[in-house]
Amino acid sequence: MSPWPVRVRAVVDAALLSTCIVLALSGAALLFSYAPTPERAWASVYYTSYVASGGATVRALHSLASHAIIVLAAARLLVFAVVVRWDRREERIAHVVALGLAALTVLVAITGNLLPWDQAGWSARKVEFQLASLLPFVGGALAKGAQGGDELGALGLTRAFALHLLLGTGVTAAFVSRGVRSFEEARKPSAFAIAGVVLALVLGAAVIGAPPLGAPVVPFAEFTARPEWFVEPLFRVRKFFHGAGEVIGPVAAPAIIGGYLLLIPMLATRFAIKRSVLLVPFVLAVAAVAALVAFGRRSELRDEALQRERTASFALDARARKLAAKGIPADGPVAMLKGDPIVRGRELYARFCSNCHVLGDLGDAKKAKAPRLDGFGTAAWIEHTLREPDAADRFGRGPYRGRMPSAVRNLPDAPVGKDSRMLKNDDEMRAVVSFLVKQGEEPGEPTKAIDAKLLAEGERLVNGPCTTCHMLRAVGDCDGTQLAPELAGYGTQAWIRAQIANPSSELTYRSLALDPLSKGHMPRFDGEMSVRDIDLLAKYVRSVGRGLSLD
Amino acid sequence: MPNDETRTGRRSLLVAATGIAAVPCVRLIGHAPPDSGARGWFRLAKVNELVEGLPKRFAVVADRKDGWVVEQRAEIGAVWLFLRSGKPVALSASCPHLGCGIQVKEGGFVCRCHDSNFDPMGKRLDGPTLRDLDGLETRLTDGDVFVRFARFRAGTQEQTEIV
Repeated sequence: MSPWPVRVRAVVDAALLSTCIVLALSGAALLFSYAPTPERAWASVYYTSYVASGGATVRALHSLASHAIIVLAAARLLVFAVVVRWDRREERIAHVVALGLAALTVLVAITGNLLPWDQAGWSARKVEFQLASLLPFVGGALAKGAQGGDELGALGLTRAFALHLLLGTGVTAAFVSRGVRSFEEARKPSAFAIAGVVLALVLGAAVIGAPPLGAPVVPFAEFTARPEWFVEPLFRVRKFFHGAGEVIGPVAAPAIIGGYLLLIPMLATRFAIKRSVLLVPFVLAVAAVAALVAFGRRSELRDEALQRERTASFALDARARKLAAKGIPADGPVAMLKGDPIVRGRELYARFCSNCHVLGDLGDAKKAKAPRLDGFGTAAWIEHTLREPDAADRFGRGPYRGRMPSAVRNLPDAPVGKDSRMLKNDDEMRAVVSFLVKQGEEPGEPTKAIDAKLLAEGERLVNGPCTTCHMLRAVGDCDGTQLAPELAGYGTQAWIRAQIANPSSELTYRSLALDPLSKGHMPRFDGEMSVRDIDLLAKYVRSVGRGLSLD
Repeated sequence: MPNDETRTGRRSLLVAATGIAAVPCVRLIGHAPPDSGARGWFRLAKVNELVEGLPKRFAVVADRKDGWVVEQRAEIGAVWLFLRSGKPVALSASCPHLGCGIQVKEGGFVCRCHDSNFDPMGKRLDGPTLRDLDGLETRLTDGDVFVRFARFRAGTQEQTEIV
C-alpha cells in the first residue's frame, strides 16, 4: 500500500485523466461545426449552441471540463509540492513538468475563450495583449505575433485556434499518459475518481448548461473588459502596481507562487522543514488573493454605472442571439447588428437626434428644443400637441414656437369675444385625434377598430381649420406655402423616413422647413446617413415611440 | 546493425533537414502583417452636432485590412468630440493605459477596465494611466469637423504614435 499523499496524487491524476478525455472528445466534436474566422466564428458557435442537435450539451461539457481541468492542474501542482521526494531525479523532473503543465493549461483556456469571438472574450484578450506588449524586449513582437498585427483580428483568431488545438492536444496527452501510469499507485480510488468525474461532468453539464453566447465582437464598441475567474486574481492584484511595475506584477506574482510550490520539496529535504509549515505562506497568499477578488467584486456590484453598463450589455447579448435565430448574414454578425433597427437605430438616434429630441432614455429633457418623440403619432401625443403646441416638450423651445395655434383656445388674432376655437368640444377632439392616429398606421398593424362615422367626422374637421395651414393628401388652402406638415400618412414609417432624410420634401414640411428664417429647424440628414440607416432610424423612432416590438 | 559513425551521420542529417524545414515554418508562425494603414484626416461630424462641454462619441469609419480580409466601411476607432469655447476638441476614445474604451461620466472621462479617471479636458486625475487622454488634431471647414485620427502606444508615459 502506497502512503496516502501518493494515493491522493493518483486520484488527482485519475480525475485529470477523465477530465482530459471529456475535453478531447467534446473538443473534437466541436471542431465539426466551428470556423475560425471573424465573420464565421461567432455564427458557427451560435449554430453549435442553439441549432445543432447535441451542440448545447457538448459545449456545456467542454466548458465545464475546462474549468475543472484548471482546478485539477493547480491541485496537482499542490499535491506534487507535498509528495515529491527531491532526492529522486525523476520526481524532481515530474514536479517541474507539473508546474509547466498547469501554466500551459491556463494558456489553453485563454486561447479557447477567444474562439467564440464574442465581445467579452475578445476584450479580455485585447487588454492582456496590450499588457504583454509592455514586457521588456520580447513584449512588442509577442503581442504583435499573437494578435496577428496591431489589432486583435483575423490572424489572431486563427492563431489562437491553432494554439488551442496544438497545446490542448499536448497537455491532454501528457495528463492522460500520467494518469495511466499513476493508476497502479491506487487502483480502486483511481477507478472511482475516473467514473465519478465523468459522471459529475456529464450531470453538471446537463444541469448548468453551456454559458450563454455573448454579443459578437464589434471592435471599438464601448465595453468594459473583465477577465475570467482564473485570470481575475492577477487583474485584482494588478491594481496595486502602477507604471513600470504593472507588467511585472502579472508576470512575477504567478512566477513567485509557482516557484515557491516548486521549491517546497527542496526546502523540506535540504533543511528538514515540515511541509505543512512550508505550505503556510502559500495558503496565506491564496487566502489574501481570494479576499482581494471577493472585495473587488463586491465594490463592482455597488458601482451603479458599471452595473447599468452590464445590464445594457446583457440586453445586447440577448438581442444578438435573437437576431441570429433568423440567420446570420454572410458578412458576419457585425453586419447583422448594423442592420438591426434596435441596435443601429439607437446608435444613430444617439448621434443625430438626441441633441434636440428626447426619446426614451436618450436626449436631455431639460435642453431638448424639439418635440419629445415618446408616443409620437399616438392619440395621447396628438391630443397634447393639439391642445398645447407650445408646451416645452412640443414646439415651445424651438423655432416653430408660436406657429401653430392651440386647437382648444381662441385664435390669437381673432376678435375678442368670438368663439374662434378650432375644436369646440371633446367629441370633436376625439374625432380629429382618431383620424390623425389612423394616418400613422402601417398595414397589418394591430389597431383598435375606429368607428367609421368618427373617422369621417375627423376628416371633415381636419379639412376645415387644420388645412388652413396643413396639407392633407397634397391639398390645402395655402397650397403648401405654410410651415405645417402634410397630414396624410403622418406618423407612418414613410413619413418619418422622409422627415429625417429631408424635411422640405412634399411628404412632410415642404420648402419652408429649411428656410433660413426658421433657424434651428430640423436639418436634412440624407447627406449624413445612408438610405438604409435612415430607414433603420425611422423604424427605431416609430417603434420605440409607440412602444411596439421590433421582432 | 549500423555502426556509430553512420548513426551520428544520420542524426546530423536529420537535424540539418529539420532545421532547414523549420526556417520558413518559424517565419510563417511569426509573420505579423503590416499595419492596417488606417489613419489620417476624417470628416467625423458637422459642427452643429457638437455641444459645448458635452462629449459625443463618433466612430471613425474606413476600410480595415485585417489579415486576408478587407472590411469595407468598418469602424477602425472612436473619438470623443465636443466644443470648448465654440472650437471642436477631439480626444481618442482608446484608453492610453491599456486600450479599453473611454467613457464619459459626470465630471470627465473614465476607463472602467482599470478605473483611470480624467477631467473634462482629458487630463489624467487618478488611476493606473501614465498619461492624459490622447488629443487629436481637429480642423473646421465649412461647418464640417475633420479629425486627424491616429493610434498611440498604450501603457507608456510618453505619447508614441503607431506608424
